[in-house]
Amino acid sequence: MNNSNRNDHNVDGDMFPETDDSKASEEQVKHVASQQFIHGLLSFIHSDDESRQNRRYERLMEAIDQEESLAILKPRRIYWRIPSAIAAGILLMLTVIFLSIPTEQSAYAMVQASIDASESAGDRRYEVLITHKPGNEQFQDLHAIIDIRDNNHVVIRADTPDGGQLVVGHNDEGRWAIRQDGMIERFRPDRAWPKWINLGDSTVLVESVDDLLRRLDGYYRLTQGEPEQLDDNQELLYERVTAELIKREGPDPERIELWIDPATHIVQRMELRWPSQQRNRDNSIRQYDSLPQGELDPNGPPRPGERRDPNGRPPHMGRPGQDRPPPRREQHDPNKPPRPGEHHNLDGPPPPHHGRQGPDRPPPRFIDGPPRFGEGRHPPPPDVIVFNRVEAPGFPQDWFDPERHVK
Amino acid sequence: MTPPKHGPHPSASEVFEILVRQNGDMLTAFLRSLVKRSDLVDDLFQETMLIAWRRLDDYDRSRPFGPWLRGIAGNLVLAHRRQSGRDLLNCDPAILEGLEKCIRNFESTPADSFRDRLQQLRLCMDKLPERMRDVIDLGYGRGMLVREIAIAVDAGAEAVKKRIQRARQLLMDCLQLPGEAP
Repeated sequence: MNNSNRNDHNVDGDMFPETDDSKASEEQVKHVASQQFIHGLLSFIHSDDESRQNRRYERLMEAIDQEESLAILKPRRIYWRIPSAIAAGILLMLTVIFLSIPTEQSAYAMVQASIDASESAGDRRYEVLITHKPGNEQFQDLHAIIDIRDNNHVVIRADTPDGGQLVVGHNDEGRWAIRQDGMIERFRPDRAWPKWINLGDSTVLVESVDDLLRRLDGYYRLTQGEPEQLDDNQELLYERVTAELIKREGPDPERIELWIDPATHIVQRMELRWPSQQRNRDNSIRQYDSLPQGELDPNGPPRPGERRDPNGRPPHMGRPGQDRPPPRREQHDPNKPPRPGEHHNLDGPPPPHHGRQGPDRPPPRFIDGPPRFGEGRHPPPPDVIVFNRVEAPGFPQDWFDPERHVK
Repeated sequence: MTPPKHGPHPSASEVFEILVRQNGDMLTAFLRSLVKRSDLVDDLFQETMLIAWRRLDDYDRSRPFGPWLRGIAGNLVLAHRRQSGRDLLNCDPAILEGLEKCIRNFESTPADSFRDRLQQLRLCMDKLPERMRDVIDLGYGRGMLVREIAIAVDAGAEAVKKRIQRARQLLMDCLQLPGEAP
Protein backbone atom coordinates (compact mmCIF):
# COMPACT_ATOMS: atom_id res chain seq x y z
CA MET A 1 0.00 0.00 0.00
CA ASN A 2 2.69 2.42 -0.81
CA ASN A 3 2.62 4.57 -3.87
CA SER A 4 6.26 4.22 -4.74
CA ASN A 5 5.44 3.12 -8.24
CA ARG A 6 3.74 6.43 -8.81
CA ASN A 7 6.62 8.26 -7.22
CA ASP A 8 9.18 7.91 -9.94
CA HIS A 9 9.36 11.67 -10.09
CA ASN A 10 6.70 12.30 -12.62
CA VAL A 11 7.18 15.99 -12.12
CA ASP A 12 10.66 16.00 -13.60
CA GLY A 13 9.85 15.53 -17.29
CA ASP A 14 11.66 18.12 -19.32
CA MET A 15 12.07 20.49 -16.41
CA PHE A 16 15.82 20.08 -16.18
CA PRO A 17 17.13 21.12 -19.59
CA GLU A 18 20.47 19.86 -20.80
CA THR A 19 23.31 22.29 -20.33
CA ASP A 20 26.11 22.51 -22.84
CA ASP A 21 29.24 22.80 -20.71
CA SER A 22 30.91 25.10 -23.18
CA LYS A 23 28.01 27.55 -23.36
CA ALA A 24 26.16 27.40 -20.03
CA SER A 25 26.91 30.24 -17.70
CA GLU A 26 27.88 29.60 -14.13
CA GLU A 27 24.48 30.94 -13.06
CA GLN A 28 22.63 28.56 -15.37
CA VAL A 29 24.57 25.58 -14.06
CA LYS A 30 23.98 26.69 -10.50
CA HIS A 31 20.27 27.10 -11.16
CA VAL A 32 19.83 23.66 -12.73
CA ALA A 33 21.98 22.00 -10.06
CA SER A 34 20.01 23.59 -7.24
CA GLN A 35 16.71 22.59 -8.89
CA GLN A 36 17.86 18.98 -9.17
CA PHE A 37 19.26 19.06 -5.65
CA ILE A 38 15.89 20.09 -4.18
CA HIS A 39 14.18 17.61 -6.51
CA GLY A 40 16.40 14.86 -5.08
CA LEU A 41 15.60 15.84 -1.49
CA LEU A 42 11.86 16.03 -2.16
CA SER A 43 11.88 12.69 -3.93
CA PHE A 44 13.82 11.17 -1.06
CA ILE A 45 11.41 12.54 1.54
CA HIS A 46 8.41 11.15 -0.28
CA SER A 47 9.80 7.86 -1.53
CA ASP A 48 12.55 6.60 0.75
CA ASP A 49 11.27 5.90 4.22
CA GLU A 50 13.47 4.05 6.68
CA SER A 51 12.07 0.64 5.78
CA ARG A 52 12.90 1.11 2.13
CA GLN A 53 16.38 2.30 3.02
CA ASN A 54 16.86 -0.64 5.38
CA ARG A 55 15.89 -2.92 2.56
CA ARG A 56 18.66 -1.44 0.44
CA TYR A 57 21.14 -2.00 3.28
CA GLU A 58 19.97 -5.59 3.75
CA ARG A 59 20.32 -6.31 0.05
CA LEU A 60 23.77 -4.74 0.00
CA MET A 61 25.13 -6.57 3.04
CA GLU A 62 23.73 -9.82 1.71
CA ALA A 63 25.67 -9.28 -1.53
CA ILE A 64 28.79 -8.43 0.45
CA ASP A 65 28.40 -11.55 2.56
CA GLN A 66 28.15 -13.60 -0.62
CA GLU A 67 31.25 -11.93 -2.06
CA GLU A 68 33.14 -12.61 1.14
CA SER A 69 32.14 -16.27 1.15
CA LEU A 70 33.18 -16.63 -2.49
CA ALA A 71 36.49 -14.90 -1.74
CA ILE A 72 37.37 -17.79 0.57
CA LEU A 73 37.59 -19.98 -2.54
CA LYS A 74 40.04 -17.62 -4.26
CA PRO A 75 43.53 -18.72 -3.11
CA ARG A 76 44.15 -20.80 -6.21
CA ARG A 77 47.85 -21.29 -5.58
CA ILE A 78 47.18 -24.18 -3.24
CA TYR A 79 44.60 -25.88 -5.40
CA TRP A 80 47.10 -28.19 -7.04
CA ARG A 81 47.99 -29.64 -3.66
CA ILE A 82 44.43 -30.60 -2.86
CA PRO A 83 43.99 -34.35 -3.06
CA SER A 84 41.82 -35.35 -5.96
CA ALA A 85 39.07 -36.74 -3.72
CA ILE A 86 38.64 -33.39 -1.95
CA ALA A 87 38.76 -31.60 -5.30
CA ALA A 88 36.04 -33.88 -6.57
CA GLY A 89 34.02 -33.12 -3.46
CA ILE A 90 34.39 -29.41 -4.01
CA LEU A 91 33.44 -29.83 -7.65
CA LEU A 92 30.35 -31.75 -6.62
CA MET A 93 29.41 -29.05 -4.10
CA LEU A 94 29.86 -26.32 -6.71
CA THR A 95 27.74 -28.34 -9.14
CA VAL A 96 24.99 -28.53 -6.53
CA ILE A 97 25.27 -24.78 -5.93
CA PHE A 98 25.02 -24.01 -9.63
CA LEU A 99 22.15 -26.44 -10.07
CA SER A 100 20.29 -24.67 -7.29
CA ILE A 101 20.68 -21.24 -8.84
CA PRO A 102 18.10 -21.74 -11.64
CA THR A 103 15.55 -22.87 -9.03
CA GLU A 104 16.16 -19.70 -7.06
CA GLN A 105 16.06 -17.56 -10.20
CA SER A 106 12.81 -19.24 -11.24
CA ALA A 107 11.30 -18.47 -7.86
CA TYR A 108 12.29 -14.81 -8.18
CA ALA A 109 10.88 -14.74 -11.71
CA MET A 110 7.62 -16.26 -10.48
CA VAL A 111 7.27 -13.66 -7.76
CA GLN A 112 8.17 -10.86 -10.15
CA ALA A 113 5.60 -12.16 -12.65
CA SER A 114 3.05 -12.22 -9.86
CA ILE A 115 3.86 -8.63 -8.89
CA ASP A 116 3.55 -7.56 -12.52
CA ALA A 117 0.27 -9.44 -12.94
CA SER A 118 -1.23 -8.02 -9.77
CA GLU A 119 -0.79 -4.49 -11.12
CA SER A 120 -3.33 -5.16 -13.85
CA ALA A 121 -5.41 -7.93 -12.30
CA GLY A 122 -8.32 -5.71 -11.34
CA ASP A 123 -10.62 -6.26 -8.38
CA ARG A 124 -9.53 -9.03 -6.03
CA ARG A 125 -10.58 -10.16 -2.59
CA TYR A 126 -8.63 -12.16 -0.05
CA GLU A 127 -10.04 -13.72 3.07
CA VAL A 128 -7.52 -13.68 5.88
CA LEU A 129 -7.32 -15.90 8.94
CA ILE A 130 -4.98 -14.92 11.75
CA THR A 131 -4.53 -17.93 13.93
CA HIS A 132 -2.50 -19.60 16.65
CA LYS A 133 -1.26 -23.09 17.20
CA PRO A 134 -3.40 -25.57 19.10
CA GLY A 135 -2.86 -24.96 22.79
CA ASN A 136 -2.80 -21.23 22.33
CA GLU A 137 -6.55 -20.94 22.62
CA GLN A 138 -6.18 -17.98 24.94
CA PHE A 139 -5.26 -16.06 21.79
CA GLN A 140 -8.27 -15.48 19.63
CA ASP A 141 -8.33 -16.38 15.95
CA LEU A 142 -9.23 -13.35 13.91
CA HIS A 143 -10.61 -12.80 10.45
CA ALA A 144 -10.03 -10.05 7.94
CA ILE A 145 -10.90 -9.26 4.37
CA ILE A 146 -8.65 -7.45 1.93
CA ASP A 147 -10.15 -5.85 -1.16
CA ILE A 148 -7.70 -4.73 -3.82
CA ARG A 149 -8.26 -2.91 -7.07
CA ASP A 150 -4.67 -1.78 -7.70
CA ASN A 151 -1.69 -0.40 -5.77
CA ASN A 152 -3.58 2.72 -4.80
CA HIS A 153 -6.96 1.19 -4.01
CA VAL A 154 -7.00 -1.17 -1.07
CA VAL A 155 -9.33 -1.74 1.88
CA ILE A 156 -8.51 -4.00 4.81
CA ARG A 157 -11.28 -4.82 7.28
CA ALA A 158 -10.25 -6.88 10.27
CA ASP A 159 -12.17 -8.13 13.28
CA THR A 160 -10.56 -7.11 16.55
CA PRO A 161 -10.58 -9.11 19.79
CA ASP A 162 -12.78 -6.49 21.45
CA GLY A 163 -15.57 -7.28 19.00
CA GLY A 164 -14.96 -4.24 16.87
CA GLN A 165 -13.57 -3.88 13.43
CA LEU A 166 -10.46 -2.22 12.18
CA VAL A 167 -10.69 -0.60 8.76
CA VAL A 168 -7.70 0.81 6.93
CA GLY A 169 -7.27 1.61 3.29
CA HIS A 170 -5.74 3.54 0.47
CA ASN A 171 -7.45 5.60 -2.18
CA ASP A 172 -6.52 8.37 -4.61
CA GLU A 173 -5.92 10.74 -1.72
CA GLY A 174 -3.54 8.46 0.15
CA ARG A 175 -3.67 6.22 3.16
CA TRP A 176 -6.44 6.32 5.70
CA ALA A 177 -7.83 4.51 8.70
CA ILE A 178 -11.10 4.62 10.59
CA ARG A 179 -10.29 5.42 14.21
CA GLN A 180 -12.05 3.82 17.14
CA ASP A 181 -14.12 6.97 17.58
CA GLY A 182 -15.33 6.62 14.00
CA MET A 183 -13.29 9.52 12.69
CA ILE A 184 -11.22 9.24 9.53
CA GLU A 185 -7.50 9.52 9.99
CA ARG A 186 -5.29 10.23 7.00
CA PHE A 187 -1.60 9.41 7.12
CA ARG A 188 1.01 11.86 5.96
CA PRO A 189 2.25 10.81 2.54
CA ASP A 190 5.88 11.22 3.58
CA ARG A 191 5.51 8.83 6.50
CA ALA A 192 5.37 5.08 6.37
CA TRP A 193 1.96 3.62 7.03
CA PRO A 194 2.12 1.82 10.35
CA LYS A 195 1.84 -1.83 9.49
CA TRP A 196 1.65 -3.39 12.92
CA ILE A 197 -1.31 -3.24 15.25
CA ASN A 198 -1.29 -4.14 18.92
CA LEU A 199 -4.51 -6.04 19.54
CA GLY A 200 -3.78 -6.64 23.19
CA ASP A 201 -3.23 -10.40 22.91
CA SER A 202 -1.12 -10.30 19.82
CA THR A 203 0.56 -7.89 17.47
CA VAL A 204 -0.65 -8.34 13.93
CA LEU A 205 0.83 -7.36 10.60
CA VAL A 206 -1.70 -5.51 8.46
CA GLU A 207 -0.52 -5.39 4.89
CA SER A 208 -1.93 -6.22 1.50
CA VAL A 209 -0.85 -9.30 -0.43
CA ASP A 210 0.68 -7.13 -3.15
CA ASP A 211 2.81 -5.15 -0.70
CA LEU A 212 3.98 -8.34 0.96
CA LEU A 213 5.00 -9.69 -2.44
CA ARG A 214 7.04 -6.59 -3.15
CA ARG A 215 8.89 -6.98 0.14
CA LEU A 216 10.06 -10.50 -0.64
CA ASP A 217 12.89 -9.36 -2.86
CA GLY A 218 15.75 -8.42 -0.57
CA TYR A 219 14.48 -9.70 2.75
CA TYR A 220 13.80 -13.30 1.76
CA ARG A 221 15.52 -16.15 0.01
CA LEU A 222 13.10 -17.64 -2.49
CA THR A 223 12.97 -21.24 -3.61
CA GLN A 224 10.67 -22.92 -6.06
CA GLY A 225 8.74 -25.99 -4.97
CA GLU A 226 6.82 -28.69 -6.75
CA PRO A 227 3.44 -27.54 -8.09
CA GLU A 228 0.59 -28.33 -5.71
CA GLN A 229 -3.17 -28.52 -5.70
CA LEU A 230 -5.37 -26.45 -3.47
CA ASP A 231 -8.59 -27.71 -1.99
CA ASP A 232 -10.69 -25.15 -3.81
CA ASN A 233 -9.54 -26.31 -7.23
CA GLN A 234 -8.54 -29.95 -7.46
CA GLU A 235 -7.75 -29.74 -11.14
CA LEU A 236 -5.27 -26.89 -11.05
CA LEU A 237 -1.65 -27.27 -10.02
CA TYR A 238 -0.45 -24.05 -8.46
CA GLU A 239 3.13 -22.86 -8.70
CA ARG A 240 4.83 -23.02 -5.32
CA VAL A 241 7.36 -20.63 -3.85
CA THR A 242 8.79 -20.67 -0.36
CA ALA A 243 10.37 -17.50 0.99
CA GLU A 244 12.63 -17.74 4.02
CA LEU A 245 13.77 -14.71 5.94
CA ILE A 246 17.47 -14.15 5.28
CA LYS A 247 18.28 -12.49 8.59
CA ARG A 248 16.11 -14.00 11.26
CA GLU A 249 15.84 -10.81 13.24
CA GLY A 250 13.06 -8.33 13.61
CA PRO A 251 9.34 -8.87 13.48
CA ASP A 252 8.88 -10.16 9.93
CA PRO A 253 7.47 -13.64 9.36
CA GLU A 254 10.16 -16.29 9.23
CA ARG A 255 8.62 -18.11 6.31
CA ILE A 256 6.15 -17.19 3.60
CA GLU A 257 4.52 -19.86 1.46
CA LEU A 258 2.95 -18.94 -1.86
CA TRP A 259 0.57 -20.74 -4.18
CA ILE A 260 0.49 -18.90 -7.51
CA ASP A 261 -2.01 -19.46 -10.30
CA PRO A 262 0.13 -20.63 -13.27
CA ALA A 263 -2.20 -19.05 -15.82
CA THR A 264 -2.79 -15.63 -14.30
CA HIS A 265 0.31 -15.44 -12.02
CA ILE A 266 -1.94 -14.11 -9.27
CA VAL A 267 -1.32 -15.31 -5.73
CA GLN A 268 -4.10 -17.70 -4.76
CA ARG A 269 -2.90 -18.41 -1.25
CA MET A 270 -0.23 -16.95 0.99
CA GLU A 271 0.82 -18.15 4.43
CA LEU A 272 2.93 -16.08 6.79
CA ARG A 273 4.56 -18.05 9.59
CA TRP A 274 6.38 -16.88 12.69
CA PRO A 275 8.64 -19.11 14.77
CA SER A 276 7.21 -20.32 18.04
CA GLN A 277 10.31 -19.20 19.92
CA GLN A 278 9.54 -15.62 18.93
CA ARG A 279 6.43 -15.93 21.04
CA ASN A 280 8.28 -17.57 23.89
CA ARG A 281 10.90 -14.83 24.12
CA ASP A 282 8.41 -12.27 25.30
CA ASN A 283 6.01 -12.03 28.16
CA SER A 284 3.44 -14.31 26.53
CA ILE A 285 5.20 -17.22 28.23
CA ARG A 286 3.85 -15.95 31.51
CA GLN A 287 0.37 -16.61 30.25
CA TYR A 288 1.30 -20.23 29.60
CA ASP A 289 2.64 -20.41 33.15
CA SER A 290 -0.78 -19.57 34.51
CA LEU A 291 -2.46 -22.42 32.67
CA PRO A 292 -3.31 -25.66 34.45
CA GLN A 293 -0.70 -28.39 34.46
CA GLY A 294 -0.92 -30.38 31.27
CA GLU A 295 -1.43 -27.32 29.12
CA LEU A 296 2.16 -26.20 29.53
CA ASP A 297 3.00 -28.10 26.38
CA PRO A 298 3.25 -25.34 23.77
CA ASN A 299 0.81 -27.33 21.67
CA GLY A 300 -1.50 -28.00 24.58
CA PRO A 301 -3.40 -31.21 25.15
CA PRO A 302 -5.07 -32.68 22.09
CA ARG A 303 -8.72 -31.89 21.83
CA PRO A 304 -11.24 -34.70 21.48
CA GLY A 305 -11.00 -36.09 18.00
CA GLU A 306 -8.16 -33.74 17.08
CA ARG A 307 -5.64 -34.99 14.54
CA ARG A 308 -2.41 -33.29 15.53
CA ASP A 309 0.00 -32.14 12.89
CA PRO A 310 3.55 -33.25 13.72
CA ASN A 311 4.76 -29.77 12.73
CA GLY A 312 2.41 -28.13 15.15
CA ARG A 313 0.19 -26.65 12.47
CA PRO A 314 -3.42 -26.16 13.33
CA PRO A 315 -5.58 -28.67 11.46
CA HIS A 316 -7.12 -26.12 9.13
CA MET A 317 -3.88 -24.35 8.28
CA GLY A 318 -1.90 -27.13 6.66
CA ARG A 319 -0.72 -27.60 3.15
CA PRO A 320 -3.30 -28.42 0.55
CA GLY A 321 -3.80 -32.09 0.07
CA GLN A 322 -2.91 -32.76 3.69
CA ASP A 323 -5.28 -30.53 5.55
CA ARG A 324 -8.09 -28.19 4.86
CA PRO A 325 -7.85 -24.50 4.01
CA PRO A 326 -9.00 -22.05 6.63
CA PRO A 327 -12.75 -22.18 7.01
CA ARG A 328 -14.82 -19.39 5.63
CA ARG A 329 -17.13 -17.73 8.05
CA GLU A 330 -20.60 -18.92 7.51
CA GLN A 331 -22.21 -15.56 8.03
CA HIS A 332 -20.26 -13.96 5.25
CA ASP A 333 -20.97 -14.53 1.60
CA PRO A 334 -17.89 -13.43 -0.33
CA ASN A 335 -19.84 -13.34 -3.56
CA LYS A 336 -22.29 -10.89 -2.17
CA PRO A 337 -21.50 -7.28 -3.08
CA PRO A 338 -20.96 -5.08 -0.07
CA ARG A 339 -23.96 -2.99 0.89
CA PRO A 340 -23.98 0.40 2.54
CA GLY A 341 -24.24 -0.16 6.25
CA GLU A 342 -22.82 -3.65 6.00
CA HIS A 343 -19.26 -2.52 5.83
CA HIS A 344 -18.38 -1.46 9.34
CA ASN A 345 -19.42 -4.70 10.96
CA LEU A 346 -18.61 -7.27 8.38
CA ASP A 347 -19.96 -10.38 10.00
CA GLY A 348 -21.11 -9.13 13.33
CA PRO A 349 -19.09 -9.40 16.51
CA PRO A 350 -17.19 -12.60 17.14
CA PRO A 351 -18.89 -15.26 19.23
CA PRO A 352 -18.77 -14.57 22.95
CA HIS A 353 -16.38 -17.41 23.71
CA HIS A 354 -13.74 -15.85 21.50
CA GLY A 355 -11.10 -13.98 23.45
CA ARG A 356 -11.42 -11.50 26.21
CA GLN A 357 -14.04 -8.89 25.72
CA GLY A 358 -15.48 -6.09 27.69
CA PRO A 359 -14.86 -2.47 28.48
CA ASP A 360 -11.55 -3.19 30.25
CA ARG A 361 -9.97 -4.44 27.07
CA PRO A 362 -7.61 -1.88 25.47
CA PRO A 363 -8.58 -0.88 21.92
CA PRO A 364 -6.30 -1.87 19.03
CA ARG A 365 -3.43 0.54 18.55
CA PHE A 366 -1.08 1.20 15.66
CA ILE A 367 2.57 0.82 16.60
CA ASP A 368 5.04 3.48 15.54
CA GLY A 369 7.80 1.48 13.90
CA PRO A 370 8.45 -2.23 14.03
CA PRO A 371 7.27 -4.09 17.13
CA ARG A 372 9.79 -5.35 19.67
CA PHE A 373 8.78 -8.86 20.49
CA GLY A 374 12.08 -9.93 22.01
CA GLU A 375 12.05 -7.16 24.60
CA GLY A 376 8.50 -7.94 25.62
CA ARG A 377 7.44 -4.46 24.58
CA HIS A 378 4.62 -5.75 22.44
CA PRO A 379 2.40 -8.84 22.50
CA PRO A 380 3.70 -11.67 20.33
CA PRO A 381 2.86 -12.11 16.66
CA PRO A 382 0.31 -14.74 15.65
CA ASP A 383 1.66 -18.11 14.58
CA VAL A 384 0.16 -18.03 11.12
CA ILE A 385 -1.65 -15.59 8.88
CA VAL A 386 -3.28 -17.14 5.82
CA PHE A 387 -4.54 -15.19 2.84
CA ASN A 388 -6.92 -17.05 0.53
CA ARG A 389 -8.17 -15.52 -2.66
CA VAL A 390 -11.92 -15.73 -3.10
CA GLU A 391 -14.19 -14.50 -5.82
CA ALA A 392 -14.50 -10.74 -5.60
CA PRO A 393 -17.85 -9.04 -5.91
CA GLY A 394 -18.04 -5.96 -8.06
CA PHE A 395 -16.75 -3.24 -5.77
CA PRO A 396 -18.71 0.01 -5.90
CA GLN A 397 -16.80 2.96 -7.26
CA ASP A 398 -16.42 4.58 -3.84
CA TRP A 399 -15.57 1.34 -2.03
CA PHE A 400 -11.99 2.44 -1.41
CA ASP A 401 -12.93 5.80 0.08
CA PRO A 402 -12.93 6.00 3.88
CA GLU A 403 -16.30 7.75 4.01
CA ARG A 404 -17.87 4.58 2.70
CA HIS A 405 -16.68 2.70 5.79
CA VAL A 406 -17.56 5.17 8.51
CA LYS A 407 -20.39 3.94 10.67
CA MET B 1 21.74 -7.05 8.31
CA THR B 2 23.86 -8.39 11.11
CA PRO B 3 24.43 -5.73 13.74
CA PRO B 4 28.07 -4.87 14.29
CA LYS B 5 29.70 -6.82 17.06
CA HIS B 6 31.20 -4.55 19.65
CA GLY B 7 34.51 -6.29 19.96
CA PRO B 8 37.88 -4.58 20.16
CA HIS B 9 38.52 -5.00 16.41
CA PRO B 10 35.44 -4.62 14.25
CA SER B 11 35.71 -6.40 10.93
CA ALA B 12 36.03 -4.52 7.65
CA SER B 13 32.43 -5.33 6.76
CA GLU B 14 31.21 -4.04 10.12
CA VAL B 15 33.09 -0.76 9.64
CA PHE B 16 31.76 -0.56 6.11
CA GLU B 17 28.20 -1.13 7.28
CA ILE B 18 28.52 1.81 9.68
CA LEU B 19 29.80 4.01 6.84
CA VAL B 20 26.98 2.81 4.58
CA ARG B 21 24.35 3.66 7.16
CA GLN B 22 25.90 7.07 7.82
CA ASN B 23 26.02 7.98 4.15
CA GLY B 24 23.28 5.91 2.52
CA ASP B 25 20.51 8.49 2.81
CA MET B 26 22.54 11.24 1.19
CA LEU B 27 23.70 8.92 -1.57
CA THR B 28 20.09 7.98 -2.28
CA ALA B 29 19.03 11.63 -2.44
CA PHE B 30 21.98 12.31 -4.75
CA LEU B 31 20.89 9.50 -7.07
CA ARG B 32 17.30 10.70 -6.95
CA SER B 33 18.50 14.10 -8.16
CA LEU B 34 19.92 12.42 -11.26
CA VAL B 35 17.75 9.38 -11.97
CA LYS B 36 14.07 9.18 -12.83
CA ARG B 37 13.19 5.59 -12.02
CA SER B 38 13.17 4.16 -8.50
CA ASP B 39 14.40 0.74 -9.58
CA LEU B 40 17.37 2.36 -11.30
CA VAL B 41 18.09 4.27 -8.08
CA ASP B 42 18.10 0.92 -6.26
CA ASP B 43 20.46 -0.65 -8.79
CA LEU B 44 22.88 2.28 -8.85
CA PHE B 45 22.85 2.48 -5.05
CA GLN B 46 23.75 -1.21 -4.82
CA GLU B 47 26.40 -0.97 -7.52
CA THR B 48 27.98 2.12 -5.97
CA MET B 49 28.21 0.53 -2.56
CA LEU B 50 29.60 -2.73 -3.92
CA ILE B 51 32.30 -0.89 -5.85
CA ALA B 52 33.11 1.10 -2.72
CA TRP B 53 33.38 -2.16 -0.76
CA ARG B 54 35.70 -3.72 -3.33
CA ARG B 55 37.86 -0.59 -3.46
CA LEU B 56 37.81 0.18 0.23
CA ASP B 57 41.60 -0.05 0.32
CA ASP B 58 41.74 2.86 -2.14
CA TYR B 59 39.68 5.11 0.09
CA ASP B 60 41.72 7.86 1.75
CA ARG B 61 40.49 7.65 5.34
CA SER B 62 41.60 11.19 6.08
CA ARG B 63 38.83 12.42 3.79
CA PRO B 64 35.07 12.23 4.18
CA PHE B 65 33.43 9.08 2.87
CA GLY B 66 30.35 10.72 1.32
CA PRO B 67 32.04 12.62 -1.53
CA TRP B 68 34.04 9.51 -2.42
CA LEU B 69 30.82 7.51 -2.67
CA ARG B 70 29.14 10.19 -4.75
CA GLY B 71 32.17 10.24 -7.06
CA ILE B 72 31.67 6.53 -7.71
CA ALA B 73 27.93 7.03 -8.14
CA GLY B 74 28.46 9.95 -10.54
CA ASN B 75 30.75 7.80 -12.69
CA LEU B 76 28.15 5.04 -12.78
CA VAL B 77 25.46 7.52 -13.81
CA LEU B 78 27.68 8.81 -16.62
CA ALA B 79 28.37 5.23 -17.71
CA HIS B 80 24.64 4.57 -17.79
CA ARG B 81 24.15 7.71 -19.87
CA ARG B 82 26.74 6.46 -22.36
CA GLN B 83 25.04 3.08 -22.57
CA SER B 84 21.39 4.04 -22.84
CA GLY B 85 20.95 7.69 -21.98
CA ARG B 86 17.43 6.97 -20.75
CA ASP B 87 15.77 7.57 -17.41
CA LEU B 88 18.25 10.23 -16.37
CA LEU B 89 17.91 13.90 -15.58
CA ASN B 90 20.62 16.37 -16.52
CA CYS B 91 23.90 14.75 -15.53
CA ASP B 92 26.44 16.88 -17.35
CA PRO B 93 29.75 16.97 -15.45
CA ALA B 94 29.15 20.64 -14.60
CA ILE B 95 25.79 19.73 -13.06
CA LEU B 96 27.37 16.89 -11.08
CA GLU B 97 29.89 19.38 -9.75
CA GLY B 98 27.12 21.85 -8.90
CA LEU B 99 25.17 19.12 -7.13
CA GLU B 100 28.22 18.15 -5.11
CA LYS B 101 28.56 21.77 -3.95
CA CYS B 102 24.90 21.86 -2.92
CA ILE B 103 25.27 18.62 -0.99
CA ARG B 104 28.43 19.71 0.79
CA ASN B 105 26.75 22.94 1.82
CA PHE B 106 23.72 20.98 2.99
CA GLU B 107 25.90 18.59 4.98
CA SER B 108 27.69 21.47 6.66
CA THR B 109 24.47 22.68 8.28
CA PRO B 110 24.32 21.82 11.99
CA ALA B 111 22.38 18.59 12.57
CA ASP B 112 23.07 15.08 13.77
CA SER B 113 22.02 13.27 10.64
CA PHE B 114 20.79 13.68 7.11
CA ARG B 115 17.22 12.98 8.18
CA ASP B 116 17.50 15.68 10.84
CA ARG B 117 18.60 18.10 8.14
CA LEU B 118 15.57 17.18 6.11
CA GLN B 119 13.44 18.50 8.95
CA GLN B 120 14.57 21.97 7.96
CA LEU B 121 13.32 21.32 4.44
CA ARG B 122 9.97 20.16 5.83
CA LEU B 123 9.67 23.42 7.76
CA CYS B 124 10.42 25.29 4.57
CA MET B 125 7.74 23.29 2.74
CA ASP B 126 5.23 24.39 5.35
CA LYS B 127 6.13 28.00 4.61
CA LEU B 128 5.48 27.72 0.88
CA PRO B 129 2.51 29.62 -0.53
CA GLU B 130 -0.47 27.29 -0.67
CA ARG B 131 -0.64 26.97 -4.45
CA MET B 132 3.01 25.99 -4.56
CA ARG B 133 2.70 23.60 -1.65
CA ASP B 134 -0.23 21.98 -3.45
CA VAL B 135 1.71 21.22 -6.62
CA ILE B 136 4.64 19.87 -4.59
CA ASP B 137 2.29 17.63 -2.58
CA LEU B 138 0.55 16.39 -5.69
CA GLY B 139 3.74 15.84 -7.67
CA TYR B 140 5.98 14.32 -5.05
CA GLY B 141 3.56 13.10 -2.41
CA ARG B 142 1.09 11.47 -4.75
CA GLY B 143 3.30 10.90 -7.76
CA MET B 144 0.99 12.70 -10.14
CA LEU B 145 2.06 13.66 -13.63
CA VAL B 146 2.29 17.33 -14.54
CA ARG B 147 -0.80 17.04 -16.74
CA GLU B 148 -2.69 15.39 -13.88
CA ILE B 149 -1.65 18.15 -11.50
CA ALA B 150 -2.74 20.70 -14.09
CA ILE B 151 -6.23 19.22 -14.08
CA ALA B 152 -6.28 18.98 -10.30
CA VAL B 153 -5.33 22.61 -9.75
CA ASP B 154 -7.15 23.89 -12.82
CA ALA B 155 -4.09 25.36 -14.49
CA GLY B 156 -2.08 24.78 -17.64
CA ALA B 157 0.76 22.27 -17.73
CA GLU B 158 3.34 25.00 -18.36
CA ALA B 159 2.02 27.00 -15.43
CA VAL B 160 2.34 23.94 -13.21
CA LYS B 161 5.94 23.39 -14.33
CA LYS B 162 6.77 27.02 -13.57
CA ARG B 163 5.07 26.72 -10.20
CA ILE B 164 7.09 23.64 -9.29
CA GLN B 165 10.33 25.26 -10.40
CA ARG B 166 9.51 28.37 -8.40
CA ALA B 167 8.65 26.26 -5.36
CA ARG B 168 11.98 24.46 -5.59
CA GLN B 169 13.78 27.78 -5.82
CA LEU B 170 11.94 29.08 -2.75
CA LEU B 171 12.88 25.92 -0.87
CA MET B 172 16.51 26.33 -1.86
CA ASP B 173 16.44 29.94 -0.69
CA CYS B 174 14.72 28.98 2.53
CA LEU B 175 17.38 26.41 3.39
CA GLN B 176 19.95 29.23 3.41
CA LEU B 177 22.81 26.88 2.80
CA PRO B 178 26.26 28.21 3.69
CA GLY B 179 27.93 29.46 0.54
CA GLU B 180 24.59 30.07 -1.17
CA ALA B 181 23.11 33.51 -1.53
CA PRO B 182 19.74 33.62 0.31
